[in-house]
Amino acid sequence: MLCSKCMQREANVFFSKITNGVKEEYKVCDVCAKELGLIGSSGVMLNMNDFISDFVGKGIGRKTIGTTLVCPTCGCTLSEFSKTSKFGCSECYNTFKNYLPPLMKRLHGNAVHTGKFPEKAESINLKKNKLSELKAKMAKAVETEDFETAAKLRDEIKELSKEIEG
Amino acid sequence: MWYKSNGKDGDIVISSRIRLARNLKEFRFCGKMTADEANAIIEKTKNALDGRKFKFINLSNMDKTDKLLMLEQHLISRELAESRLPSGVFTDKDNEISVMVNEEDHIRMQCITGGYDLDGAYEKLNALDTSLEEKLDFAFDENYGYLTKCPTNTGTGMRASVMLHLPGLAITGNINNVIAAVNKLGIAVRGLYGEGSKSAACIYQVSNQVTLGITEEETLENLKNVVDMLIEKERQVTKALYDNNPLQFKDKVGRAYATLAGAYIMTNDEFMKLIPYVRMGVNMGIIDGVDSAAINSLIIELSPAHVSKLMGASNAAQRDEKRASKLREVLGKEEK
Ligand SMILES: [Zn+2]
Ligand SMILES: [Zn+2]
Repeated sequence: MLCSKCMQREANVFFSKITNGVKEEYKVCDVCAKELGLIGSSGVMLNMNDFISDFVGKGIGRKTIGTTLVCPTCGCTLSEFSKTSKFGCSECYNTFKNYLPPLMKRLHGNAVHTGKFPEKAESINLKKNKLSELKAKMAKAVETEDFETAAKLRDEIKELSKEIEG
Repeated sequence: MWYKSNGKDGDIVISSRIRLARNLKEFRFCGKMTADEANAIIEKTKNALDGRKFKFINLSNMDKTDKLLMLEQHLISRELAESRLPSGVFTDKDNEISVMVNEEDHIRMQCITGGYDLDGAYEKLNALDTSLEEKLDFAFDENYGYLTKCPTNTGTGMRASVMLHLPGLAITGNINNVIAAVNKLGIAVRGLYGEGSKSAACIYQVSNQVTLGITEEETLENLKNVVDMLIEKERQVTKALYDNNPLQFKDKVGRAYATLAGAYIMTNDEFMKLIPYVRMGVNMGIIDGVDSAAINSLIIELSPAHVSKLMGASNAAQRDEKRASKLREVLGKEEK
C-alpha cells in the first residue's frame, strides 16, 4: 500500500483522525510520519514515554475526538493513557484497541503476538480453529443439500461453541 | 548467590537474567488497584507457589536499607523497592529465582545466574511460569499475548539481559559507538542498576527491547548474537591495549591493585574507577591469587547499602573505612 501523502513510498504508519464527527484513515510512510511529527526523528534512542505520548497525542489527538473513551473496568481515559502510556487494566487493551496497532508497530515493529501461549489459551485457540473448520464444512453440506451431514455438524458446532465460552 | 560463582565466559559476562511480566486477569493493574486487592494478589501468588519452598519477604514494613541491599543484589527492582502498595518477593533457596509481587505488573518473576547462560535461565523460569499458569489466570490475548501495564512489555512480557564487564571498550572510548550500533538492532544498554543508572565500574546491562511479534527463542537468539559480538570485541580491544604497550598496561593494573589492596580510606567512586583495571589484570593473569568471581562479589558487596548494613557503617566516612578494610582483607591478604 502506498503512502497517502507522498504517494511514493510504502505506507507502514496507520492512524485515524476524527474531524467534526467524520473519521478519516491515514496511511503514511516512515518519512512522511516524521514530517507530520507522528514519530520522532532520532529512532531507537527515543524516550519511550514521550514517544508514545507524542504519537497517541498528535496522531489521534484528544482535541479531535468528540467523546472521550473511558475504560469501564478501571476508569482510565484515553487522555490519561496517552499521557502516561500505561494501561490501567487488561480491559484497557480492548477499550483502546483502535489506537494500539500503530503504537505497537512503532514500539515493536510488529503488532501480533507470536510467542508463548498459556496452555489454557492454546487449547481454546485450537478449538476456535476447529470451530471455523466445522462451520465451513456445514456451509458446504448445506450447499450440496446434504442435510443429514449438515444437521450433525450443527450439533457439533453447538457443543464446541459451548466449550469455548464455558 | 549468583555473583559468587564464575560461569561461562566469566571473564566478561558477570550474569545472565530473564524476567517475565504477568498480570492476573481478574485484577486491575498496579496503580489502579486498592491495598486490599494488592494483598489478595500476594495471597494468590503464595498459594500458587505452595510446595516449591519459596521464602516470602514482605517489603511493606521493611526498612529502606534492607530494600537497598536486595536491590544491590539484583533480587528486586527499584520500582518494587519504592512501591507504595503492599508488595513482596518470593525467593528460592539459592536466590536464583525470585518472584516480585505488585511491582509495575502483578507478577514479575526472574531467574539470574552467574556467567553466560541465557538458555538455562529461561528454561528454569519458563518451567515456573508454566506451573503457575495452571493455578493462576494470567491476562492474555490472542493478538497481544501477555497483557502488561506498559505497552513496551506487551507480548512475551520477557526481558532477557546480560551483565557485561567491558573495561576495554570503555577505556578506549569505543563504548558509545558500540552502544549506538547495538541500539539499532533493538537492543538496549543500561548501567549496573538498570534504567537510568550510570555505568559504574564499566559494567553494562544489555537487553532486548522488542516483546511483541517475536518468540522467546528468537529474542534469546538476537540477544546472544549481540552479546557474542560484544564479548569478541572486548577481548580484541583488551588484547590490543595490552600489545600496544605491555609495560604501561601492567603499570596501570599494578597501581590500581596496590591502591585497592593497601588503602585505609576508599570511597565508592575511587573503588568503581580502579576495580575494572584489577578485574582485567586478573583475567589476563597479571594478578594471581584472586579470581574474577571474587571481584564480582566485591563489586556487589562493597555497594553502599551492603557496607552500611553488613559492615555496620552508619555514615560515609565509616563506609569508606570499612570498604578499605574489606579490600585489604580480600586483595591484600591481610589478617582479619
Ligand atoms: Zn510518504
Ligand atoms: Zn482499564
